[in-house]
Amino acid sequence: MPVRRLVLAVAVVVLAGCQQSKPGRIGIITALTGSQQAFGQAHDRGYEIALEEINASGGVLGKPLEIVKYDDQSKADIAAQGVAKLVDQDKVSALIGSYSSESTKAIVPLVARRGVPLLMPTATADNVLDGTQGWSFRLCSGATDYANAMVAFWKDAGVPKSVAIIYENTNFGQANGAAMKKAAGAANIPIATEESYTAKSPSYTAMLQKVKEKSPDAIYFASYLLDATSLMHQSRQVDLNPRYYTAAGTGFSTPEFPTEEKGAGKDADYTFSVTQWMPESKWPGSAQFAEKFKAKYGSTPAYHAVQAYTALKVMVEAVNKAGKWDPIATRDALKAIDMPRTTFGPVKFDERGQNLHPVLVTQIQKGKYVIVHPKSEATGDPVVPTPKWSER
Amino acid sequence: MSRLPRWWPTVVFFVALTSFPLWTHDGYLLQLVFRVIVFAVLGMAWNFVGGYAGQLSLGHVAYFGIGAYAMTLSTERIGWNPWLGVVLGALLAGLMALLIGSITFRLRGPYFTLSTIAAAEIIRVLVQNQDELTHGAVGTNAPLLFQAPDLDAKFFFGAMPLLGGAFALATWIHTSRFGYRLRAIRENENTAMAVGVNPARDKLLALLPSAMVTALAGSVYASYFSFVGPDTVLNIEISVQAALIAMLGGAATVWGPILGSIVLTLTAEIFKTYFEHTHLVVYGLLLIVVVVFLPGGVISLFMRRWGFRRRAGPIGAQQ
Amino acid sequence: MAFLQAFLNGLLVGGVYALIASGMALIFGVMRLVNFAHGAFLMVGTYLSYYGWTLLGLNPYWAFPLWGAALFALAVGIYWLLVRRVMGANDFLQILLTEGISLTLVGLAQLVFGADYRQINLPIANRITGFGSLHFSVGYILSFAVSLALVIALRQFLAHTEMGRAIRAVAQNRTVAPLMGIRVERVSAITFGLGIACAGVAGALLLPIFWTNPTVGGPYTLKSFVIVVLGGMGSVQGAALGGLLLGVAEQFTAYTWADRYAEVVNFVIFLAVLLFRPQGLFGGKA
Repeated sequence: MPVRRLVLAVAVVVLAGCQQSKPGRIGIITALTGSQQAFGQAHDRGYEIALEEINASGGVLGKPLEIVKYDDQSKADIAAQGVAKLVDQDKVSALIGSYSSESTKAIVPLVARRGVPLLMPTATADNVLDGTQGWSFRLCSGATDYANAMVAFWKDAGVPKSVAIIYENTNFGQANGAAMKKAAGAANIPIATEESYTAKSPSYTAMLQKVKEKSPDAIYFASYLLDATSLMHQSRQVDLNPRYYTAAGTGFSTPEFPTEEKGAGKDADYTFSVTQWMPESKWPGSAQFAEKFKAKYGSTPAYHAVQAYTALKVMVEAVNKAGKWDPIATRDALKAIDMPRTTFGPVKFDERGQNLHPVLVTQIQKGKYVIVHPKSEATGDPVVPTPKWSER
Repeated sequence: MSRLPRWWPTVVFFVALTSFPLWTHDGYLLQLVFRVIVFAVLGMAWNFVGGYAGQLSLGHVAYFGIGAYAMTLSTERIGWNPWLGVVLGALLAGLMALLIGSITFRLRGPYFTLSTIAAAEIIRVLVQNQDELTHGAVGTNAPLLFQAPDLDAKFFFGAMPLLGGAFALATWIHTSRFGYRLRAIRENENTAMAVGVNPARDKLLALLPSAMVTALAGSVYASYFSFVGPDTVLNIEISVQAALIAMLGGAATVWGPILGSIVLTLTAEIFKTYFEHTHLVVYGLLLIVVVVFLPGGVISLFMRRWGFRRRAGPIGAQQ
Repeated sequence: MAFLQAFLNGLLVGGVYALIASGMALIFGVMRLVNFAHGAFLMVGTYLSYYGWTLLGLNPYWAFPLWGAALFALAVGIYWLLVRRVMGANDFLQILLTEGISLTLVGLAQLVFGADYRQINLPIANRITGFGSLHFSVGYILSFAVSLALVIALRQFLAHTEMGRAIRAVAQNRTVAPLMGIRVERVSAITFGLGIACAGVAGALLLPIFWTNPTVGGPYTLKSFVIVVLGGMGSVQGAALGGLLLGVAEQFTAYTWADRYAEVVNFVIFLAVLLFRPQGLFGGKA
């Protein structure tokens, strides 16, 4: 026994010594299982494609990049546990993640405590950037940016006389519902009504009927794909005809939404949505990323995948600029980073750690997404007002 | 033959456990054992009502969440010290226990269980939808009960008194006349009434500490992971876990929930690390195994080995 | 008029609820088994229906007998393996065992199918029909019609067939029934199978108008208990009426208050009935 112990001790010391020259690693937390699995999988795929490309072009600081993944099971406290595992056990020097605003919010104070930089690819709730103490950065636009983009679009296309806000009562929905309420208020657009629903409801017709009675000029949804599909079908059933059907992305901006088999099909036509990215966008590498994704996984990527892809690339760029695998140096490199031509558009973080990412507004026309705002990124003109159901 | 006092294993256990942060600085390990402790406390608290009094509550997460939210919201909105918020949480949980108990304890058997689920779900829906007050579904960061550095160790040391207190309370219930009355209620409520027990009063008296300790566990848990949200602290899964931990370890025993928490938390962690996506199946199969093969819980294995006198199965007279 | 629309929509949804609850009436009311796995079996039904449609092109509106039979077989199997051990035992054990079965089924579904949401788009289900200013989704009407037909068939089965009589006899007195020549274990297995088949078929019918994922069944377990208690224990017609009533109550709540509180209606009704009229609306004795 004592001899074995001695050998083990020597081995540990030797290995510890070797640690110094081992390349660092990047930790990734996302929802690989659980209710948000579909999005976590999109993340995972984006990370894999980025990893391939990074290692094909020399890796990080001359060595291949290694990533360590942690599944938060779509739960905030498990995401929090992941930080301990990745930072304390796996000794990662930087973190990317998670998917949902809840999980992301849970890990923000923990990375600050441990002094490790975090890059958030997808969380849109506005309070996610509170309490970062300078250690966390957000790549994507937030709920407020969504609402402001839609209001800016309305200012171009015709401000609605009132807006009804309909949102799912989970974190995504509530965050975006609140953001539109504020943005509409600031633009002096009266709010016809606010309705919050649960995705478990078998029928939204009662709620939509109520909304119809308020005759809103515009409707702003915050929904996932399932409810988006049901809402559009049932809006037709109830014969609800506002001038604009608009939405805060997610369900209303997935590739599946305009399809018959997995989405609302024809009922999706004429809906407007904000989105973070489209394969058709003019940012370099967008079309190529979409093609690669389709070839590898058989489906068109939604923006979550490209957010993950870009996040990993940005983090690698930061480490390369820092010149070493050091959390503080990496954080400082992120603060100073300026990448005007990524696949996800320009990347540059402000003092709060927020990337000034331009939000696009799209409209579905004849089953295809057309970018209609801002004009500099547009690929087509909007069709306003929305034709009545009976006239389609 | 040395005549060591009967309680020496207990002392050794507690001393060893309390000194754990001194042996390791691995944040991950500390966090894992911390979770085992918090869930052991949760299981012990549930046991007062579920194991001893035989009232299968599946709504205990309500108290867990009340503790977590009271601490967080009082710090955020009123500016209190989070420790005050913890106390407030326990008091509110006690009040809520009186309210919920007065309604649900009128029902027996499965109706009682279902009503506890209903009560906890009502609270969850209210919290999730009153987003002006509670941050709704988005949740918010919970305040820290301790200051950095060495938070893992400090939280660990902070959780130990909670474990100790729950343990003491459980021991007292186990050996007191009150506990005797609770067991009588569990065996047969009508017969208990016939011999002068007041089930309505005693069930509430058991629920009060049960709820308050659960709330304390909720506050500590939320603070450690810096987060409260309806999905994390008002999730029905936590109610199921509380019951499962106590039953798995051995309901109506003092050590049962501790054993149960060790087995369940560690098993889940192992499965999470090596076999993704399987923890629900693990929970489910464990439940089935307990019911079919081990109704007395894991502790019954030890009790048999050490020749302890077999009492009636902790789950009830009929076996 | 809007109230009438809400009322009728509630009835349509309630039809499916009636079917689910009838299954629970058989299991909880008749067998006195506290079944926390009811929703999980509904979920199995939705997945069978889903793959039946996407892989084999079988329209759930006429393939449902297949799924019902499959669930019947599954249920009888689970009865023999596990459930019969807790028949007559205290409800603690029954709840724990059925909860364990539920978690296992849900966990397996997550493993095998993944946790993401699925839905199917049956062209016929999305059509809108109506008269005057009232509009209805054809899918809802179909699901309602089939569910109600099955509930009525179930009631007829219980009232007029020999097996039905045997089931009722066992419900009335489990110890005396064998003296009448009834094989209690066999009858219990069949009752359980039927009850679960109801849940599964309800799931299959729910899929075209709703969606599925491994956890879809959770709320329906609780709902079934609520309805059975509301309608009166052990009574299939009570459960049917209770289901319709609950559907209407939910839609009214969504219309007058807010959709997100509709689920609270379930719990409030449940507690209110248990406290103030424990025999249910249509039950005889307490």
